[in-house]
Amino acid sequence: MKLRACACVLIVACSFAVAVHADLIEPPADAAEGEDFVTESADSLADGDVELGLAAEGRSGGAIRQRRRVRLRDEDLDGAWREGRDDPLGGGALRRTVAGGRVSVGRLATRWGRGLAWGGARDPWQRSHERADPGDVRRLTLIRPASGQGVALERGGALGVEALAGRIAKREMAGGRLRRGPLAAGAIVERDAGATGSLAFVTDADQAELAFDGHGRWNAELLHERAVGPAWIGTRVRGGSASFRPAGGRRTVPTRSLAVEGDAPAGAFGVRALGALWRWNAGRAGGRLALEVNREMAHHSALALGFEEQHGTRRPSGGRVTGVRQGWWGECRAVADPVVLAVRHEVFGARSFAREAVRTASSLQLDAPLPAGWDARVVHTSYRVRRGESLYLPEPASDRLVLRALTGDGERTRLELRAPIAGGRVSAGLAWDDTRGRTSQPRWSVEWARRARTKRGPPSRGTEETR
Amino acid sequence: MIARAIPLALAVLASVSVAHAQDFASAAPPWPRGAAGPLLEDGLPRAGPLVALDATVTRWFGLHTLETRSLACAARFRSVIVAAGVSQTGGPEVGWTAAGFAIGAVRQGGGVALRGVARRDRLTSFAFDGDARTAGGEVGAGAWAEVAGGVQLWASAPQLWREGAAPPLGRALALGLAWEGSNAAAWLARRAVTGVSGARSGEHEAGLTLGGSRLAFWCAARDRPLRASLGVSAGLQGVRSAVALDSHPVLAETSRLTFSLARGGDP
Repeated sequence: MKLRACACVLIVACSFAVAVHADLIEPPADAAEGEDFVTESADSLADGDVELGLAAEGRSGGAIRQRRRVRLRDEDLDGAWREGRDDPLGGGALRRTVAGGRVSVGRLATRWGRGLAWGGARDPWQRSHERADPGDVRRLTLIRPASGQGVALERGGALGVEALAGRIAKREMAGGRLRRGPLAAGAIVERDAGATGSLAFVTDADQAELAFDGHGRWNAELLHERAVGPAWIGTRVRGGSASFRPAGGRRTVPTRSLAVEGDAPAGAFGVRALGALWRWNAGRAGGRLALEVNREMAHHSALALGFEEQHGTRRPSGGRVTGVRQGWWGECRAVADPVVLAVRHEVFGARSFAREAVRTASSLQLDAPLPAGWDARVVHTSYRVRRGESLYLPEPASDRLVLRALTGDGERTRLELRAPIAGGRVSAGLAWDDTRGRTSQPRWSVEWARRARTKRGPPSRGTEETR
Repeated sequence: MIARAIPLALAVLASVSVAHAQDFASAAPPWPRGAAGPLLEDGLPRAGPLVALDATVTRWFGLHTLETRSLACAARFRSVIVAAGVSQTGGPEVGWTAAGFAIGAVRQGGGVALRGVARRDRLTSFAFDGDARTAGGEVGAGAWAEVAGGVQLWASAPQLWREGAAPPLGRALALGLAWEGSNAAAWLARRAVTGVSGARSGEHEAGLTLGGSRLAFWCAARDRPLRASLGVSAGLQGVRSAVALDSHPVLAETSRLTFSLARGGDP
């Protein structure tokens, strides 16, 4: 019984690892200003796993939205499919081993090199987390998969081959790439848009890519990672033509940027830092400096403090170009067996030391196991966000992360209950907003997910609860 | 006169400073916490006595016509703690009656509780029969947990859900850290402020308690605007009394007198 209680605490504490070691979660450049953003959660299946999920959500008195999904993974076959009305993650792909290669049919979600030509490059203002383990939530890149459909082929060996063909952003396209050792070269041709080429060099410590098109426009990025004793430093440099666009009309990123990040232990503390500068075009640039100090304490308790300075814009056009924003945030997690309490406070100001606050938010998250395998979570946030600014609150589900965009002055409360039902886990959520001067109906959601093993094999990452 | 005084006082209170407590506020130091009244007020349970009773009289801003009288009791069975109480504010015809209930779990390393209060205007001294449209309620929660070395992290959201007539004062999320030693305690807190115009989004509090179960002095300071609170409590064998004063930048001081009984466990 005691072991079970400890396991529950560990599971709940692990789920809080996201909260306490989270960077400031902000949506990528292609997210609509002030609107919710949905991205895939960082999760993976082990060989032999099959996962089913059903979900419904809506507002009191409003329409009900249903979603269904299935994922499976085996040695020769893996795939995923989501469907639901207006689901931004709808669609999927099926992959199968054919003649030593992998053939994928459905959503085109591959990435070449650094993603400059195909697959989506990373925003310089976000940490790369290149060193994080596969499945680690910190690898979340906040990049939505492509909305295009097609066929892709990947074959390994001394001379690797990748090929793809399909329709994306209402344009037919086809491309191929060859890989030998750390080198790769490829090209994609789009109807009415010409060709885009890619030359890439990828090793454990260095990654580089040069992408170019038929009009002479280009973009190049170099990532260099280096371990210095127990510390780690990563440098990303990107340069090129301001008008360069990746193939498939996929998300754009600043074509010129410099980002340096690192983490290092400092006694009992861990220190992480990120400095980034970027430029879209004349008059549209930005920068971010982020410092974080964290400490793990006994009984899964943890503390993290951060300082931020940001300025400029993260969009190639539209929106506001803000002046300097300075802010700080702090998170603390305490575990009182079997209850886990985490609090967070952040404040951003238009003047130094977060004065003249433009965004202030305090959050409480409380996790408590209940009898019969049930557990409950309460998340409450009190916020004040000035007009033109947005606060994004993460709301994780089993297959996605929703960033709720909030502005104005108010409070948001979310209550979640999870229970083992019908061989899977049911998660029911109810969220309501108390915004001054506006009335909003409570938002509810119900989700059932089950992961099963179809054959003997190594256990999948984590437990069902942590997933 | 009374009818004018109460709305005026509450309006000033809401616009100038934020009241941290309402119907079941206690004169006990904010940390270490009292047993019954503070549990109903903030949802923060204390791993102390098995049975506790708090009787408190609060005179708001020196107005003898604006008083809150509350009676709260709590009982703990192993780690489960429940509390209930009743409170009246103001005189007949212009005041209100509140009933509170809390249930939670508490151990030495932490605790969590759900608390709720229902209010209704009243027409006579002890009636609970005012206009039904004036009835309202709120439900909230609080939790605390020890981080390390006597340092405790706590959070209270006393009005997660509100229904019916709005409460006299809106109370948003409060977060804090507290440290408890053998004969001293200190705390830091931040209370969010919502629904108030201007740039103010929160206020901060720092406080210190010196002394033990027999005699203790405490003081606290809050910002925006700067205010102070002072209190003293004395007790012997489970019987305890406490007095506290809260300054106010515009009105006179708010005074509280609490008489407590506790039995079993750590008083």
